[in-house]
Formats: sequence, C-alpha cells, structure tokens
Amino acid sequence: MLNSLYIKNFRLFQELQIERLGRINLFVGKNNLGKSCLLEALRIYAENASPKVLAELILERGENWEFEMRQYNNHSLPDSDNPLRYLFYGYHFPQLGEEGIEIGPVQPIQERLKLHLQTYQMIETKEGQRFHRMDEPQLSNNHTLEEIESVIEIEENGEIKSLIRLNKDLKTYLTKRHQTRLNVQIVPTQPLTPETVAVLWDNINVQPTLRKAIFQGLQLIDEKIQELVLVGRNGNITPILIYNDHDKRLPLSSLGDGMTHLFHILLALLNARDGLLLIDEFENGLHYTVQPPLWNLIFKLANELNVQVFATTHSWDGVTAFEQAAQHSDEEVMLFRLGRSVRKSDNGKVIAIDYAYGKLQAVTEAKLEVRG
Amino acid sequence: MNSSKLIVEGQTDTLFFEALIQKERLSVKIEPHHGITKIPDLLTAYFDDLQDGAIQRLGIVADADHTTPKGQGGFNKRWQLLTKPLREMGYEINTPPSQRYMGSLFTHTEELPPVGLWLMPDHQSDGMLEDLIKQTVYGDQQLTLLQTATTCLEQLPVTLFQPHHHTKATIYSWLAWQTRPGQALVSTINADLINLHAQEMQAFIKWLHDLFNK
Repeated sequence: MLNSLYIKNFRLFQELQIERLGRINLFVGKNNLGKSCLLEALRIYAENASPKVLAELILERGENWEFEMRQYNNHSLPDSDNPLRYLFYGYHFPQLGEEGIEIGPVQPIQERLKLHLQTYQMIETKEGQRFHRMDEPQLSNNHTLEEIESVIEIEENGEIKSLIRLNKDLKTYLTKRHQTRLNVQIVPTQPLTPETVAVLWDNINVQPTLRKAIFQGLQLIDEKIQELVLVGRNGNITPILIYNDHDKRLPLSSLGDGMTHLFHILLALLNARDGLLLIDEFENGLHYTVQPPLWNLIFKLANELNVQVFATTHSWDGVTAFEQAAQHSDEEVMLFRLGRSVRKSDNGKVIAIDYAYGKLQAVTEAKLEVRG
Repeated sequence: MNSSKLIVEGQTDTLFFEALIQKERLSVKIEPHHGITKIPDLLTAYFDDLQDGAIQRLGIVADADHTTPKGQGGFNKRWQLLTKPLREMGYEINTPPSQRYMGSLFTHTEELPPVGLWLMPDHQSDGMLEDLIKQTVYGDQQLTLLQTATTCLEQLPVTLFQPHHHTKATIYSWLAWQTRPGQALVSTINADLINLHAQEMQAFIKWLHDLFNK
C-alpha cells in the first residue's frame, strides 16, 4: 500500500505532495485540475514507468498526432516535438541534466521513479555494439554507428531501469514485456474493451467466491439478477445477465451505462488483489442511491483482497455518497480536493487538500459546503 | 457556492448577522461556531480552503467578553486566542487596534485571501454584541423603555447574574416589553429597534463591507 504520494513535473503537476493516503482515496475537483493525471501517475508508478505504459498513456490520449501526421508524409519529428513530451509538466521536455518527472512516495525518496532526458549513441567496441551514454567517458578507438539520439531514462535509486528512444515509433513499445511493481487495475471513463473484459472475467470465473461477489455487486442495481455469463468469441463477446424470474436474459449493455460501469468496477476490483484499483469518474452513470452501497461493497472487498483504491469524481453527489458510506466504515477512508494554490510563490500550482485528516467532525460538515 | 464566510457565535448571533448581511446586500455565508475556544481549530480547517481560494473572504465576529476569575475572556485574551493561529498561517498580525470601532483586516504574506476579525462590541473594549446593540437603540419610546430596564435591574431584590452580564440582562429585559415580547436579538433589526445608521453600527458595517465587498 502506498502511504504517501509525491509527483513532480508530470502533466498538470508541477509538484504535488500528499503526506498521507488511506486504503480508499477519493479525489474531487473541477475539470483540468489533474484528477485523471493523478491516476495516470499511479499507473506509471505501479508499472515501473515501463515504456509500454508510457506509450499506452500517450496513445490513449491521442497525443501522438504530430508523429502520425509526419510519418504519413515520411518526415521525422524533431525530438523536442516527440509526443512523450506531453507527459512532462508544461508539455515540454526538460533540458539535458535538468530534473524530470518524479513519482513515488514522499518518503523514502529513493523509492521514487525518475524520468529524465539523456543522449546516447550506438557505438562499435571490441566487445560488440553498445548503446553509449554520452556523458560517460569515451572509450578510445570506438566506431560510432549512428547519430546521437535522445532517450528518456527511467531511473530508481540511481539505477537505470529502462530506456525509451525518442526516434522509435511508440507503438513498438506496446508489446514489450516488463516487470510491474504492483498489480494495477483501471476503470477509465471509457468502457473497457470486450477483450479486456473477457481476460478479467476469466480470472474471476475460475474462483467461485469472486464470481459470487460480482453477482452480489450487480444486485445493487437490480436484486433480481442471479448471474452473469459471457457469450461469444473472437472479439464479439457479450456479457449477458440471467434473472431469477421467468428465465429472463438480457445483454448487460441494454441496461444502460451505469450497469456496465458497475460491472467494470467490480471486475477490476476483484482482479486487483494486493494492488491498486484506479477508477476515473466513479459516479459515471450510477444513480446516487446506488453509490453508498457500492462504496460499502468496495470497502469490504478492498479490505479482503488487500486492494488500495483511488477514485475521482467531479460530482458532489459523489462526495456525499462517499461520506455517507465512510461513516459506517472502519477502513481508512480519505477524501481530497484538487485545487489551485492561491499562494503567491506557488504560481497557481495544483495542490491536494485533505478534507478529513486531523479535523473535527463538525468542521468537515461545514467544509462540505465549500463546493470545489 | 458562496465563497465568503463569516464565523459567528451561536444560533442567536447567526440570525442577527444574517439579517444584517441581508440588509447590506452582501453575499456571505454565516457559520456558527461551537464555543470560542473551538475557533482556532475551525480556522485551521478553513485554512485549507483559503489556500486554493475555495474561500475567498473569511471573517470572524466574537464577543470580547470579560475577564473571568480563571483569567479567561476579555479583549486581550480573545485577541491572543484568535490571532495566534492566524499568525501561524502566515497572516500579518499587527498590534491590537489603537482606536475603538476599527475592525481588523489581516493580509497574508503569500497573498492568500484576507481574514477579518471584530471582537464585540467595539474591537477594543471588553463586552459583547448586546453592548453594541444597547449603544444603538433609538427613538424616544425605545430609549425610555431601555432606561426603565436599566433602572429595574438596579432595583432587583437579588441579583443572580454576574456583574459583567449586566448589559445582557438589560437588553433581554427590554426585549421582553416589545410589541411581540421576548423576541431574539434579530428582532432589533427586523422591528427597527436599533439605528443601523448610528456611528457605532456604521463602523461595524464598514468593516463588513471592507472585508466582503472588495
């Protein structure tokens, strides 16, 4: 479990510091304050900032448009315009030697992942070809093979864990295997693909208790739901709900976005054992009466499966529902608001404000009036 | 969302200040606190909301009260109690005001929203809201009633209340003899018993405008 979070120079965050996290963490804030970026940062951390996950983040947001456009015309993109720059604060790469992205705990700082820019060159040595870091001493009699190129180094505790070469097409990284730090499951604002659903479902399907938990969760919306099955194959997989009356069967998708969202939350949660669950826009399509019992179910399952949950919401119904559920929970439940600091020296940087930590109950009530 | 807040003492005061705020056409949410000693905690909590501008103006109105045998209350004690947390938050706290009826507006070293403080009645003396009200009662009829209330208190066979509650006892006796007897403090505004244009009240109203209307 992450006890604290430090994010620097990543997307909208110049420097964000959260001293304490709970098992369940809800982030509320207006648009464009970095709610999704925060989940992205956690995903990067859990995936050890692998080239694969970085490429996914860029491609999911369509941020490789310039690259695609140039490629179409057979032109290359200057390194400074490489789509990976979107990951950095202010949308531009740091200079060589400058600090880049940092993601990890507030303490110990050795556990933070760092991403910065470096230059490398492919050289020929007696032992063979070598990708040589330009700030390391040159060996004599080397034969340079290619031009100097820019690379993002991913470093932890002084050790380089992986490299991304800016001159490569990001899509080539999508199939690269890597070691993750933590199991991480994501419920994005867009529905999961049928393929992802099928994979997640297979893991659940072989464990009767987890399968039961899914059905229980779906019953929050309609208690007549008895079971769910997946039918079809080859990219044409449809979840079907089976009801306990009159042999009724309905495709899940026919019951609206809320039902699908609920199913995806449950799937991801039950697949997140010992890891992180990231939910973007928790309330999507969910009626406010469903939200508190769903939170309660999440609190319970997250505890049983040792999952740490991070969710975002921009609705105050969402916050109220969360608070309601939290009142009856022993879990460590935290609520944060993302806002822009009005402190002169902060220059409008995004900060996370903790609603409950160390504060009086009476105050929390009054503060909820402050609708961010 | 209302991003201006005025912290006041208890439900009776809330009604009074709500009526005043409404008369002055200010847009401020009144927040009653639960005992003056809890205000520092409340300020700490609101400090978070000042940091990202979720609260853009914050005012505190409290009674200066009188020094108790335990050494609590009175202008200086209250001033210390309430300015200490503000100073720790980075507000520039100067010395207490040198004149009566000059409310405080504290600015922040890092330009966080200003915080205002007014200790009743006049931001310098010991006392309470009732003292300010007593100062501003107007009309021959009402002044006679008020004078009678004062005389009556002197003639009580036994005085159960503390001497520093004398004004409070006077005001509530006087309120008992109105067209609608025994109404709350807010009736002094609603039934036009006090002169909002009186110098003393105008000083307080000016402080409200300086804080919330800029």
